Amino acid sequence: MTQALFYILAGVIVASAFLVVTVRNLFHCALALALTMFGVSGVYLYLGWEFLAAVQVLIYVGAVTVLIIFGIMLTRQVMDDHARVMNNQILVSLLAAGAVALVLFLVICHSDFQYSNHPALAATPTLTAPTYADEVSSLAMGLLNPQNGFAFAFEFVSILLLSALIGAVVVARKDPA
Amino acid sequence: MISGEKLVQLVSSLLQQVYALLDLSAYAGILDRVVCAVVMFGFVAVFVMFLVWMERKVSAHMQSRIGPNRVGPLGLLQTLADAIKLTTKEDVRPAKRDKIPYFIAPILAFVATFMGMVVVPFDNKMVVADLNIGVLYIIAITSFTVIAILSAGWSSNNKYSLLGGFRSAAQIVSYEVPLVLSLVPVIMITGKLNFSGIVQYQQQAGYWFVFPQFVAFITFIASATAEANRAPFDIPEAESELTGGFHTEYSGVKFAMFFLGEYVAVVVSSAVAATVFLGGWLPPLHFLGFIPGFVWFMLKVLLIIYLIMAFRWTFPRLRVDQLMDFGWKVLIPVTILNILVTGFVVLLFGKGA
Repeated sequence: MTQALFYILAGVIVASAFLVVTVRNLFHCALALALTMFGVSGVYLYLGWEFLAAVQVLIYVGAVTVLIIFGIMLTRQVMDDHARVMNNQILVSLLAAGAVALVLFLVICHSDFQYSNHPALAATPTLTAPTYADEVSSLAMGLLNPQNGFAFAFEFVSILLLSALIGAVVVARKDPA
Repeated sequence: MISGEKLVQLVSSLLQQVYALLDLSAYAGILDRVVCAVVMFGFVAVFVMFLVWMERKVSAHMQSRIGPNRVGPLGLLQTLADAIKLTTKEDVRPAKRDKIPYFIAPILAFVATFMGMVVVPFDNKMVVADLNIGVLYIIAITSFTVIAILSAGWSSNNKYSLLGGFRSAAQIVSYEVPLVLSLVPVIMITGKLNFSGIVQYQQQAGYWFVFPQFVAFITFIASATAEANRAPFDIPEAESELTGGFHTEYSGVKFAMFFLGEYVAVVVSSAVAATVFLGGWLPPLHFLGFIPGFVWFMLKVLLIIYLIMAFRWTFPRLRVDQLMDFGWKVLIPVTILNILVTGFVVLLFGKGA
């Protein structure tokens, strides 16, 4: 039963991802992308990570896809299905995509997915087997633990995002006065 | 009086007997969920009908009119008559529509908001799915409405629809930020993302969060009203300017789906406000505890819905630039400041301050 659920999810993800790159109507592509992201969040749910599933939907469906749709709507005509699916760099891109796929495949084959290998994660034993009770706090502990967490990286990324935000406002302003 | 927990036990034991009778006990887990979904859908449909009636009565009252009073006692069946009219209407569709998004949009608009109802606790243990990350779940799942609205506006192939869709999506995206940020202080204090947990915290603390977090309550109600595209933030639908906005080209059942979705959005945000800020199923005074929790919960939800309805006839409609200014330059700074102050208080006095 649960196995079947995984294959249904995987089928939806692969099929909609295939649609994203083959459909000629860009708006339909964006909708298929939303479905792909939703399917991925379904896989997270399947693995018992409710938090990641919700964040996946919130960020990728609620924000990224909406941004893409906005971009399409501002630049395309309704019913425009003449988007070019291929260009003349197909060989290079095939090579690049194949290389990425190979690396991912090797990584997945050689990883035993032991959460506890990293000292930061070992400090929070709940992470070895995600429990529904403490999922969010164990994630927070693994990420922001003052001894061996990633607090500095976390703050660094925050500052990076903040500067990007301010930069976007500065670029978008009409007259710099 | 019967409590919500007892009621749930009673119903589930009754269901067990029905399953045994029909020889379906093996599928009890799935069947339970199906029953929950159907019951929730029925409840929401009837409740929305009541709300439409209430909306018309409230607006009539505020304008010194009587309101609907012909169909059924006090006009209560007026909405039912309207619903029958809508569902039997011809489904007029633009010939040059974009077929798939046009079909999906109304369904998505309703389903996305309806799915939010799943994690709302009506009483202690009276909840369809008591998700550990309930608050985050509601925020995530309701973000689908933006895609539904954009699809509707785009696929109708009509410039009024498209403009309405754009405005609506821009508004929802902008007001989602203060909506989420005004829930953050409560999460900081309780350390919980689970709705039942937040209510239990209020029970133990002995106060409702509306008192220490009054600012957050106000910003939440304001952004929830904007999020549901209701007056005074109803520019996307401004009848006089945009001939109805993103659902201009929809009629019949499809229009009814958008309409239903809009009211469900109001119900969901009122339920969240009642749970997070008004103590959910808790009675206001201790000796009133003999009245069951779900009655208190529904009363609080109705109170907030009444507030949102009263806004419609109290404030004039905002202009587009005023709307964006209010969201980005007033609500967001206020909520961030509130988070900062709450953070200091939590840091100084520890959780539970």
